[in-house]
Amino acid sequence: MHVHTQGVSRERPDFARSAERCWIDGDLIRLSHWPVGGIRPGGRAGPIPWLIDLSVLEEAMREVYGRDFRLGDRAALLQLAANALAAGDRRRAAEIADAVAFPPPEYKSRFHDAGLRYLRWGPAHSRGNPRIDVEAWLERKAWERKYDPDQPRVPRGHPDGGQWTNGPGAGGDDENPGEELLTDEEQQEVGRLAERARRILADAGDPDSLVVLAAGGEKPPKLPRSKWGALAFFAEFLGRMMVQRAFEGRNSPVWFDVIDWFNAINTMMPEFESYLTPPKEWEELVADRDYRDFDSYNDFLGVYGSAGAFHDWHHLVEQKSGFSEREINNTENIIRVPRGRHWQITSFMATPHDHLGGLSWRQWLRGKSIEEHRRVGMMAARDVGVLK
Amino acid sequence: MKKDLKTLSLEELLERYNEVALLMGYDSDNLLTRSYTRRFKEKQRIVDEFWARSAIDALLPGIRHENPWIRYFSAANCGEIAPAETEAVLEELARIPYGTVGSQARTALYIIRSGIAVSRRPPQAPKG
Repeated sequence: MHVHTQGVSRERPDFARSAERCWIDGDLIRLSHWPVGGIRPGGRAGPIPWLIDLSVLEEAMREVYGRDFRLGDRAALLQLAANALAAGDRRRAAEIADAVAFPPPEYKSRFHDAGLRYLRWGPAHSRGNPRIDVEAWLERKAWERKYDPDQPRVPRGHPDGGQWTNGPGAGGDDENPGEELLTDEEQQEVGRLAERARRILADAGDPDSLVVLAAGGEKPPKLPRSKWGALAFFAEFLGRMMVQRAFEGRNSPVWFDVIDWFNAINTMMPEFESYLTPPKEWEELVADRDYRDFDSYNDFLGVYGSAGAFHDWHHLVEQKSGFSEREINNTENIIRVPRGRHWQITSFMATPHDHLGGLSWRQWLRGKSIEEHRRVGMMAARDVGVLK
Repeated sequence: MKKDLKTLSLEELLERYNEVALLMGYDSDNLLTRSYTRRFKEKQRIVDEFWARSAIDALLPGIRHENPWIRYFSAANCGEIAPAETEAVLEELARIPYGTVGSQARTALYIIRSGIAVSRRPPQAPKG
């Protein structure tokens, strides 16, 4: 495929620097259907080193989420099926995960040097903030090793009732909580794993290319938004506009363009809002609950008027489908839909399908009964989210 | 200038198919119906060429492709050679709430289950 972008191709989308992201994002989505930072680690021409906690695979999580924390779009969170993730490279995943569980000090520092300061492990719903500092995560790991549910407690009635007493797993100080619990064998294992981690990092080469995966739960975690994000976006927007104006040789003040843009956004807001309207019951969409039919669509409009701002009247059985005016222009066939959804329905009816022999629904319905037309019309309205 | 499909090797044909499938996905998500229809015809010609070479099996691995649109079109065009696998893929895709790939998969399932699906196998030329 020939791509007109600045050094970006399907094979090397990660060549894009963050400053170029705004230019190539659309092309990358067109090529891969994933935004920058949301490209999956599998299915590439060359291997990409990635890290995963083995618990992701062991806890039978259905989905995992992650993103490239260095270059990736903040809003792009990669969603993968955990079993699919493990299928191709389970052994390597296991090795890396072991290594991450017991990282040598230089491992952590390389993370920091690479800007990968945040890893997130554990179910998405367990914490409000999805980002956990590497060190905090390590402390948690150590604490989990220390925690023993069978440890005896002081019985009820005693002044210290409910407190832990001395027992297995209770030792260790807060600075290095995990290390004192390790037996000699475990200490050797840690050393072995640390050595393996060094080797894996050496193989990984450039730490910038590491893709860090995080474990997810039932729903994707919400990424925290920077309070400077909107300002940065505006500054970037302004910069792009000035560059564009320089190319076009325009001399009017840049604020004219800014005002134009804000006016345009203000004008479009009701349309966005109409598009975001949730699906409604049938009774909420019809013009009139009582049946009424008309000799023409204009007669219908004469009685019920416009559908409202950024809303349209939609015919379930389409207007040019060959039925009589009264069969089409009646209150059981015309519903009020947001304009964006109306466009989606139109696209739905005009899109060809393999299973219909390359015909669209509109073409396939020619010559069919009005019940068939109505069934497809209802399906379209439900599918695009107009009708509950 | 584009080469004639008949002169392409199977690998080149598959690459062209994947490109067209990705672009169709982009068109569909952006409601570019006219462009989608034009590419659909091109994709039909490519699939017909696969059938003519008796190599429609080559599209089947696409049902495990990472891109949902390639998974969808592979499932849509290989339904006759692997109905169970392709229907499972369509069911999985039908659960995608965003974009139009879920909508297309739901529609495909509706068509299959309501018994109105049309065979994609082109008519065989009479022998002799």
